[in-house]
Amino acid sequence: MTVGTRIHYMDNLRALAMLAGVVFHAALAHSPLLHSYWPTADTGSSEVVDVVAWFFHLFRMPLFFVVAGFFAALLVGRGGLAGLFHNRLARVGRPLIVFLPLVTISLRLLTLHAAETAGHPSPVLEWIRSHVQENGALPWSFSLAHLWFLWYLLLFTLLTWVGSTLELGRVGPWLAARPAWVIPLALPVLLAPALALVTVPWPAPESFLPALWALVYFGAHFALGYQLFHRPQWLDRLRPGLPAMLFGAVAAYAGLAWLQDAPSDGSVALWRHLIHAVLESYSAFWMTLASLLAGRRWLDGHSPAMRWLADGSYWVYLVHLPVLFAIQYELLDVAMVWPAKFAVSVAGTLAISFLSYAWCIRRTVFGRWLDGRRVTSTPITGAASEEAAGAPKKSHFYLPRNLRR
Amino acid sequence: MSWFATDAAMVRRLVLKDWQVYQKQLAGYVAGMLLALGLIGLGHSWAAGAGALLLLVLLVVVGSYSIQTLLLTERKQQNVPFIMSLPVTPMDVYWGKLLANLAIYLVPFTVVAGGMIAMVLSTPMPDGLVVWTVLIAAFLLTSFCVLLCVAISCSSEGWNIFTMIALMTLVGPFILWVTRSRQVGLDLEGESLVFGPVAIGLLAADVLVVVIAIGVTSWLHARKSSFL
Repeated sequence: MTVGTRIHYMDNLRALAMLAGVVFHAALAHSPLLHSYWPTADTGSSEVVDVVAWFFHLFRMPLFFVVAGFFAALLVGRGGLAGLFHNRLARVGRPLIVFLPLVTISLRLLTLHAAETAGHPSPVLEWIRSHVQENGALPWSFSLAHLWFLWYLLLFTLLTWVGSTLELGRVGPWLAARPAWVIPLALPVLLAPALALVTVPWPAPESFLPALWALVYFGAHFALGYQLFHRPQWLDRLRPGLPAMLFGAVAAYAGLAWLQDAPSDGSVALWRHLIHAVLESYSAFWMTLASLLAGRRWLDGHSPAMRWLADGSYWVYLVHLPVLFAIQYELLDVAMVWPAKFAVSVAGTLAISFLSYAWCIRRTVFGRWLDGRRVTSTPITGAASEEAAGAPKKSHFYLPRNLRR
Repeated sequence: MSWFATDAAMVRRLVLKDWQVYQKQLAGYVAGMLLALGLIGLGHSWAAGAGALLLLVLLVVVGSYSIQTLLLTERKQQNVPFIMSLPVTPMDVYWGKLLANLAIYLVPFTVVAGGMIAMVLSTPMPDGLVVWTVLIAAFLLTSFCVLLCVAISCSSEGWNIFTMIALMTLVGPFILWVTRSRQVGLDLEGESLVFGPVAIGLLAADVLVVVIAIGVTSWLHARKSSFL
């Protein structure tokens, strides 16, 4: 499979999954489900937000980890496990060490300021205000915040070495030899127990301590992406089932929403939680596969705009939460309907984050940290890769940015 | 009498050789340790107990097994005559074995110790437990270093087993002492992360024991003019 070219659809899917995270976090301020827990929770909320935002949330991170597994296999193919470790430490470990304290401190300062000054504070801000008044200060709590995915990428890098050493890759050819529908039908059931360990919808595993459910659930998606790199034809075999998967994913999600509203108690609640987990797992996995198929169909071309978005999306995701919180804390006291506040917060966060990327990051040492060493549009032609030989629609091929060291 | 290896590249190759010989088992141990950390993070007391016990057992076994595999079994298999035919000095082999075992042990040790500290800091558990965790981890690391040095110096399975049992016997009482002793004075339920004079003294003692163990073993090997 491709080792020397840029794989556009995976790059673009990764960018979209990250940018979807910005929209999701902005929407949480207007989610009735999280009103009591989210610091920027606004008085304006709607159940429409819960229905739509949580649906996208179900598959944006699984999709991200499939893409991450795909690129991990690509890195191993290029430079072996040593190359993978070197790359992940530089492009994942280093940003985590640098940005985690900055993000944590800025979120804390913003939240303390909002708790002190907001005229219409959220329930969390009200609690913080009364806690500070009673105890004098808010205790520090160490958390990975929204950067938890970087920590799990490092853990999955370690597990890639474990899997490779224990020769677990032999499972891949065996699975690929089964009929194409086996994995879409069986894997969600196998993953449901992991999701049953946590609430529905799944929470962010923000603790440094690895969460077993997240290791299993996201690890399986990472492994799927890893195998997908070696067997891209498996995805093509699923193409005829795309409409059914889309329909099934929406139906499973609708069933999940309907069941969540029904009252339950005792052992009925336990069974219901297991059924929730199964439905959640099916909906998320089928939407992940549908996204991959759609990406391969419609996003697999070189576009300067998408390339720029893909380059900037990492930085945008790293810094978006403090920017978003700063905007949404200010909006708490502004008289505006919630859709307008939502639009302002998303547009403002994306504008500030992308402009800071363009002006302060892209051409600096931080840009090289995040994007890798830039090679200016030097096309690789001919026999550099199998894809070059098999994809005449592409006129230019670029060294994968994340492979350059 | 030289305390150092004559060929650093050869030592690196010997370390890599041992790493490759042992990496399959090590991969299994690392996977087991991540599972144990995941169990602890489940939030149930039974799972936390099972996870903590699994971590402790794996950490002890990984050290003992690497020493057994890379030092004693190799000697049993009459590897010394083969090594004598290679262009290496006794000190090259000594440093190769010492560094390989340390590297192999430090991978799971870092996972466990880092995971435990992360757990304390990122959960509602009192931060004072970090000091306790560091002291226990340092004791286990020191025990491993001593066991490794004894195995390298004596090359005797009997002495190895004796030392291992002696050190393992000390683990339980040490944990109890550190937990309960007023002399140590750890504030296990406090939120402040303070290393008091006794804690610093214990860590210094650990470092001293490791330095002495490696120093004595190096001195014994430096006196050797041949492998036999």
